[in-house]
Amino acid sequence: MSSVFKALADPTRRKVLALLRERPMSAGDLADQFDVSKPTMSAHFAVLREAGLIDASKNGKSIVYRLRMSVLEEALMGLAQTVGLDLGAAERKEETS
Amino acid sequence: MTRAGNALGLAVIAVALVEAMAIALFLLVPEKREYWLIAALTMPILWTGAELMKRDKTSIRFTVAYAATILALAQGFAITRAMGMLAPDDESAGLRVLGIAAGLVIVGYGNLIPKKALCTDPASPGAARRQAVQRYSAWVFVLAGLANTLIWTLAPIEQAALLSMAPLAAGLSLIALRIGRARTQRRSEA
Repeated sequence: MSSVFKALADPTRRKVLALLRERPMSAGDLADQFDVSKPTMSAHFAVLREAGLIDASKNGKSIVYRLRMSVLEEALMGLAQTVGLDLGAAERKEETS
Repeated sequence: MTRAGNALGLAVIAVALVEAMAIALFLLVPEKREYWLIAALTMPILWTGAELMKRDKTSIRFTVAYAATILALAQGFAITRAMGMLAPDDESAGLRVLGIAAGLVIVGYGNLIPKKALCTDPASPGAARRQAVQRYSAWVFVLAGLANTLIWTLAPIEQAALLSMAPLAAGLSLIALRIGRARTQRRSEA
């Protein structure tokens, strides 16, 4: 569960999930929506995949991502967005100590 | 512990609990031994059959743990009744707990729909529509399950069974309507 909190703590990753809620998208299409480098985006995708929130499949030369969030995880994301909860605080505290 | 380890551990504990309770019931209420024999054999047979299927073992084991927990709940009430710890008036409490457990199973099932029922080809044109229907169905199942649980918790026991059907019927109708709308949309786009 801590990997889910870590994944949902970042606003970029939350926006990726919000975009994937509309439809499955290729890595390139998703990266175009953000003003960050491709390696950074790849790192965000890796965190989301590790948390089991997205799923990747190959389509020709591109990778297509789709949402794999349970209802509880989606509700948690909605709560984090609405109330502005800092879900990553515990994770960061653990890393610094 | 890994997710697979958790699933196996939970399934083993829940099935062991069912078996222990079946033995206890066998000793406490020998006149109904055929029931306890069925209870004792059901989970091992179901689990063995499920393990033979070529499907994700982790989700199978979580399902086995779920089913065994509900069976153990029912057996727990039979044991308390057999030991005279439950007055006849309290027997409705057993029904209530089983109703709540069934509602929670629906919540758990709905919660996992988006994780398990992934569309096979995410690059296909209809993938977005299929995903939307799945997510909608998942939310409806979770909310209907929660409503069902709430009814079994709060409603008078003699009305709970009938009332608890309402959110499920409404939920299934909403899902059917949503699927119908998605099909019409697909036809009009084709």
